[in-house]
Amino acid sequence: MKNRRRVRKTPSAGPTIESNRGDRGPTHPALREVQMELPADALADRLPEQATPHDRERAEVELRRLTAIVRNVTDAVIIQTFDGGILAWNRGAELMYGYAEEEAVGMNIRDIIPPRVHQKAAALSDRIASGEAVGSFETRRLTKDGRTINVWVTATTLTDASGRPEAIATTERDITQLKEAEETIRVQQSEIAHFGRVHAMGEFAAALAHELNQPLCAIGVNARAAQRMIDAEEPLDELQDALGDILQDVERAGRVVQGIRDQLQKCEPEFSTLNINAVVGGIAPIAEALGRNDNTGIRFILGDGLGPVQGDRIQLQQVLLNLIRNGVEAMPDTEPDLRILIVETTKSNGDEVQVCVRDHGQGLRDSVAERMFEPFFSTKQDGMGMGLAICSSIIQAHGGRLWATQNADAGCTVQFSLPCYPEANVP
Amino acid sequence: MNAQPTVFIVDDDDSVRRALQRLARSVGLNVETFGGAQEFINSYDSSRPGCLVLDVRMPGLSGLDLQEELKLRGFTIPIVFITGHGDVPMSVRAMKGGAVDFISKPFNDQTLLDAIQHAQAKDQESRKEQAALGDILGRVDRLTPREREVFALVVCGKLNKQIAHQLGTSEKTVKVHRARVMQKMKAESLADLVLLAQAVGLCKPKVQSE
Ligand SMILES: Nc1ncnc2c1ncn2[C@@H]1O[C@H](COP(=O)(O)OP(=O)(O)OP(=O)(O)O)[C@@H](O)[C@H]1O
Ligand SMILES: [Mg+2]
Repeated sequence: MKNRRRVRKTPSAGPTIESNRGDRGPTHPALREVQMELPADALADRLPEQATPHDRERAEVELRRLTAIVRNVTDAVIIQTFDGGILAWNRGAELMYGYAEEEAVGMNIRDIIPPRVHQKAAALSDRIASGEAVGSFETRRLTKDGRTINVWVTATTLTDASGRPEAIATTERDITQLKEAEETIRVQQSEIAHFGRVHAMGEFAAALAHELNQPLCAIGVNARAAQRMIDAEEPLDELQDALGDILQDVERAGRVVQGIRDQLQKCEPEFSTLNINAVVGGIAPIAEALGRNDNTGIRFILGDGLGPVQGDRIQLQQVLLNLIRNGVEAMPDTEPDLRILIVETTKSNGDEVQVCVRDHGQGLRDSVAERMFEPFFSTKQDGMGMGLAICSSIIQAHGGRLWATQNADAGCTVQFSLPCYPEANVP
Repeated sequence: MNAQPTVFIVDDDDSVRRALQRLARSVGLNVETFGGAQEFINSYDSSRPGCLVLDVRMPGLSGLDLQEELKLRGFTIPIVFITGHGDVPMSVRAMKGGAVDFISKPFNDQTLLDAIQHAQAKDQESRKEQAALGDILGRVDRLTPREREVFALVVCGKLNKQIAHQLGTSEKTVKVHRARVMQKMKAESLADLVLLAQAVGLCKPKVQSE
């Protein structure tokens, strides 16, 4: 072992990494120039002058242990000069990018960076050279066989004895599969969510038809009344009032139609900064339609000073509509004057918003409470049991929490909380 | 009693309620509106003539609940129900509960106005009947116990002789009572008397004719 280790003096101490290549065939000539082994004096600069041989040995053992770890991790570990010259290339890098260590050392890092990313990479390298800590970031790399892969890179600056930045060490993890899996899940989740919305709108059809009928009816009656007023030569301001009411109802019908359209829309979830009260307000027409259909009043209590949340408006509205429908469906046996559903938004834990849907219905038996969020669990004759399961997945994707509690008096409250992000530091 | 009839409109939907009110006013009707069934019950004075225009579906007490409640309290105000479509079972229930009319949304304004007019007429009629009934009951009240017995037997078709026998008096006395009953009840003939008796439920017409 010892005799295989070459000791080489380089002008500067240089970044060091052990290359235990004894069992791996002849060394590529090009590589000899940058062969990186553990020089006998590798530790010289790092140990105090009075270090005893014992200290020295301990330190050396430690260094070996670390380099062994680096060699064997599946992450690629690459050391490069600020010009991109590759100085070291571990086993993980070989597996990930397809170049053997012999080939890679001496190549330029640009060889494994897709041309489109070159400029960005160079800029980054400059920032590192100037001593800036860039931490971790996601980027793309090119493999030897021409694939583009997604990698998660953690970059650190290596300095020489005097603390001058000298090279860049990166740890790179292939996250391509992870990203693909995430994408698949995201697409599936969005498709299931869309399916749920279409299904729900089907269930709501009768209630929605009725809800559209209201403004249409009022518009018709007002228009007839206006005609009669004209015939009777009544004062114009009465006529103005009638026309004003007609316009209001046109808008109202428009809002119902917009609400339905939003829910039926098939679109990729799109996260944006949202005011939760506006999100809740947007489904009020549909919620009220659902309520009216079952002689249930819906009361909205919207809190003040709630922080913005990040999310997909349509999916959050879908969650609300599901919870509202469940609440309404839980109250058929409730006394008429108690048949009220409360939708409330509040601040919780300081940096969260909470949306509660509180009913006065049958409440939750233990056997239901345990399983209600499971897909296809339903106690309803024609329930599909997907409502809450879809809600769960949506809220999870929003980094929030969804849960149900039994009310002290009657019925239950199903609620979700979402983290607030001040606009400036949206993740 | 001879006050102008009022159209009481109960609908939870503000804009529909305002529209109905405007339409009714445009043809010179007296209108009062309520946003809910409970609100109406709380303030309703059954001595005021009129009719009720009622939305079937409302949160809290529905139109049907209100109809039942009014019935329980013995109020007979005619009801015009307004329904959305797909409310067939509700409509059937309301009809059985004695609704005068059903209008389904959206409706022709004239249809509603006709229904209101019909309901008002019905209310007027039933108020007249009520008044007449009250009048007859007042007359019955003025009969002595003995006269009442004679009244009941006469309208059942009994002869004076039979009545005298049954009451244990003379035929002559029965004749005197009978004349007084005719006079107090303001009946011109036996047929009149029978009708009055039927109106207050003193005898059943069917059984009588057999
Ligand atoms: N507010 C509530 N009160 C009482 N039970 C509830 C409430 N919300 C949900 N549940 C229970 O949880 C079950 C699952 O609800 P979920 O919304 O997932 O499905 P569902 O309403 O049965 O059918 P659908 O797929 O049409 O929504 C319900 O069947 C019911 O037993
Ligand atoms: Mg449900």
